[in-house]
Amino acid sequence: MAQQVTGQAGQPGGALNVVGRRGPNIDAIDRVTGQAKYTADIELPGMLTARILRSPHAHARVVRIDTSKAEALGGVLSVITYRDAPKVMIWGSRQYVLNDRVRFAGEAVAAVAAVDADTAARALKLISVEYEPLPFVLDPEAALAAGAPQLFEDGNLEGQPRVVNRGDIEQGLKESDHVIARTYRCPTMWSGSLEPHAVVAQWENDRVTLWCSTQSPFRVHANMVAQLGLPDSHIRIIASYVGGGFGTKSAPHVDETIAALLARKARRPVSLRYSREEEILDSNTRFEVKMYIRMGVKKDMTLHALDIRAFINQGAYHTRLGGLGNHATHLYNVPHLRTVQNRVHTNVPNTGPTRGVGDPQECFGLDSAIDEIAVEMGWDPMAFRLKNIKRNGDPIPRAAGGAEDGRLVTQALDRCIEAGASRIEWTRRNQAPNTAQAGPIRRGMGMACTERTGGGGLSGAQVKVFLDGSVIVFYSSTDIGTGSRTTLSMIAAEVLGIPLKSFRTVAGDTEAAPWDGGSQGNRTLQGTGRAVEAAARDALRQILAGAAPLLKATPEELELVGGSIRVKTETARTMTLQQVMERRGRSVVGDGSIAQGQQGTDVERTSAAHFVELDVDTETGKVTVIKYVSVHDVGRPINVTIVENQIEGGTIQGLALTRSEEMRFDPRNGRTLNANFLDLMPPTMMDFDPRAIEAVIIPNEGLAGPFGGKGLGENPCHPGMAAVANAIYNATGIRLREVPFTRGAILRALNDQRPAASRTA
Amino acid sequence: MENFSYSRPATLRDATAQLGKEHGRVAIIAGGTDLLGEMKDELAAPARLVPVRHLREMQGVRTVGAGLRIGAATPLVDVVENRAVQEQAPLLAMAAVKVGTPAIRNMGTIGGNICQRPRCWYYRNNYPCFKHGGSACFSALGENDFHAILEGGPSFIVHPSDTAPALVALGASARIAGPGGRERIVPLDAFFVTPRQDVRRENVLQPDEILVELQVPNAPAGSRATYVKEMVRETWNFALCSVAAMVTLSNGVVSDVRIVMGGVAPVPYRALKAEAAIRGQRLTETTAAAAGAAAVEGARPLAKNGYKVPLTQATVKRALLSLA
Repeated sequence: MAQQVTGQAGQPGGALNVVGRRGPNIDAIDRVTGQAKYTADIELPGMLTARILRSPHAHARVVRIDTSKAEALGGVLSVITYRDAPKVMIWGSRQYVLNDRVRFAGEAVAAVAAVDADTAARALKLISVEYEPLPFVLDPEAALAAGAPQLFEDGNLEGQPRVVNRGDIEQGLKESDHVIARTYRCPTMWSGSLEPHAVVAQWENDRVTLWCSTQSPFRVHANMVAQLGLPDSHIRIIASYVGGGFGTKSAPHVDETIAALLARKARRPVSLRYSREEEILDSNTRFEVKMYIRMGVKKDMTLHALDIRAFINQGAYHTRLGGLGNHATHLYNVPHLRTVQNRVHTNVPNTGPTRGVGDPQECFGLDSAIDEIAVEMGWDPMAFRLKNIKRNGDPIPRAAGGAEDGRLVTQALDRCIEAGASRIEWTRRNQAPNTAQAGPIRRGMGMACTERTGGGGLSGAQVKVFLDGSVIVFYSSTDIGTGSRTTLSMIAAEVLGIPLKSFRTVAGDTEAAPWDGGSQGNRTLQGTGRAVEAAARDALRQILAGAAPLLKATPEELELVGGSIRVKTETARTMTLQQVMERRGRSVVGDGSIAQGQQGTDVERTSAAHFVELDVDTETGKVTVIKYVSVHDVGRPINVTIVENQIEGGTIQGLALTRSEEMRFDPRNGRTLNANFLDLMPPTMMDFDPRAIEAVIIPNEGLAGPFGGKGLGENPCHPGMAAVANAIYNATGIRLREVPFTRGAILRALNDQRPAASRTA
Repeated sequence: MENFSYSRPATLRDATAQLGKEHGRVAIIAGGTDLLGEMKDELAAPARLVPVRHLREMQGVRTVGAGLRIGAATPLVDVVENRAVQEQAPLLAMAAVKVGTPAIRNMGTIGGNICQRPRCWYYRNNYPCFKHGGSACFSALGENDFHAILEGGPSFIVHPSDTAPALVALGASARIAGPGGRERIVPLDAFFVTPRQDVRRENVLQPDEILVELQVPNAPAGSRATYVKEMVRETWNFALCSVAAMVTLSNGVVSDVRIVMGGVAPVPYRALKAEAAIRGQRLTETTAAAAGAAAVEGARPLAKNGYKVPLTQATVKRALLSLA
């Protein structure tokens, strides 16, 4: 992938001193000892506590809202309703921060700031709201039917259906030797983080600082500019330590603006912290996807036609970051392709990007169908994939779309598949279901493949070298637990030749660091990492220029190695960095602002193959993962430990989607019934033995990222649902086309499979 | 959470004197692991809390005669770790260790565990259901994956306790104190009430009564017991179904047996038909499976909880086989 990068490109292939090693996070001690300050740790003099009043109705008009009693309560300093809120839609959404019409149960209706949480809670009870309930709809297909309740004047469909065409789908299906038609569904699922959303807002005259738990400070910043109508220089977003994000913090929500409005009205700082229930109802959830898939193959084992008609439940307001991934267009070669994505608004809580966005759902549908058709044809599903995956040099779309106007480079999916098959010993796999059994236990194997873009766009960072030779890396994307403080410091350390122990970071601060797209979509390493590299090169250039007269050499003749500057050809002529900096008498600031994007025809992607071996207890419906091998192309790993942790964590998150985490709505009123950890039942450390998970990194070198690295974070949670569904089939012969694979789903399917006479329920 | 007063009674008699005749107005608090959650979620709004953890009669495990006396306010962790419990009623220790998480077992008490309120989503979301004094069970036609397959109706809650099935299987009794020093002893199989008996409550405790102590006879000499709990995840979960089973074998034949199930009925459900099926039999795959089938005889699953029938069947079978 060609790209515009200010500053030099990396030096892949050169001798590396820091990059490619293992090591702990540089902020690990701060995090575990409580020195790391999260938003909830911020305490300011006179700070108030905010609470939000939420709608009990899935769809209603606010006919009347009376806040006078709440305002009269002692200790209440500000109350806001839709009358105080800007008529400006939130970035990436159709939602006003507060509105006189609510479209999901749990939507904010009013907010209060008071001297303490109890007073704020009492004030909420004193707000009287008269609602006119409206008909609601929860199912995306039902929402498109004639006569369905309408959420918006232009209907429930977000924009136009996204349609991709390649070849002629009907002709392709007709030409196929075998065709299957299947329906797959992933429901609305929780996919959030341990730290709920939190904001602290503080005004100084007409300038506001917001400490936020966000992945994308500059997205929040852009939203605040729009919401508050202030110049961009008047708004500062600080997201220093963030307790996980998984996409739910990649876009702004109502919370930042509500805190800012309350603080402005009260003339005091305001802290707003979501409860767990609020976090589940009003951040964003993994969107429901229903897929109707038709797939055709030729006898020669080629995938010939693929038709996906998808209904994506966007929830009430979400507009921007939904939809399927690019598996259909970018993973397998298929001459006749059509995908139609209907992105539909319904009265379920806000959805949005969560780890993998639509990739896990699309992967579940597509790689389940791949497995199904291979089984029906009597082919090994792995051989079928190897026959049809896109390999280096294969035509591939340069952007999201059907036209294959580019050429795939630096791909390693074939090697991922081969390595995974070898690690799990795919040859041991059942030739037919129910062949490996001991009593009621059935063992089986499954696999699935995935791919994604590595992210890019606009990124920025600065590297400041102090007189003592220590360094701070300033960047305004974030470390949401992905280890970016460490990885980015390692990149700068590699460039500068300064030991890693001399590095600190300032992350997530829009005032301290240049503009950056944020930490989502595999982009922190590939985008911000390149910006840090450029900034470090800029700093190095200045340091060497400063050292040149001192060492009586030209800058080109010098190098910085191990914290010392020396003449390359005469290494005894040397000064320490500290000596040079002290003689220089002022710090060095290197700047790195870059733009990355698809240029030319070379297309780089990042891919993975996952393999699972599991047991299904056919009497209790329990699934136990015996072994899970996650093989990833990450380009060159910058910190091997961090990469392995990302792979393991994402794998477990993918497995979690197979087990529980479905949000359940009351069909009678649209309310979420299980918005807490006890009833959503996310798995714990007890559920998936980490020793059963093997993270494998395929040696490779990318083009777009620093030192040949590729973005990784999203991918590990994509294939779990498909791999597990395929393994459950291989074990038992039951095909689960809806997640999660609960005890109920498994026992029901097993029971349906038995002869009627022996059924038990 | 609503404001409440907190008055620490000096004696058990003081405590009962404070309770009054109205359900819900005064609440007894021991570990508070269920009650405080209910108060925060505004499912309960007692005007007064009466703490009982400090009352001597309600604390600790003692051996008296051929049995144990366990103060109702004894933390679950102390039940789990108590040597006398492990030796004289191991089934109870096995069940108590399955409750919640270590944090919950440190705070939660055995009395609270058997008196905890239902986990039904509708109840916990404050729907006007039978349990809240309303006139409907929303689960019957709603989301009922986790509801009763046995003894359900008109409410379809399941009893969530892990220790209750074990205590019923052990033949334990509840010592209950009322006002004015009045006391009564109620066998646990009469302590829990079905929705048909009292749709709002899960046990016989009157508003002015306190569960003081559990009286647990020693497990029969030579008996073997197990507690098996099936969950969605491996910890911090209420049972999809659980089985407390205790058998005595004479010459390889089951001479005495108790099978009590949790998570499948509004009360800890004693599976008398399963007991009858296995009594006098050797414990084999066939006889245990027959007992499993007998355990769910009469089950009437709702739309989404049919899986509990085969699951319970298998769990009973396995619990029995593990005792062979």
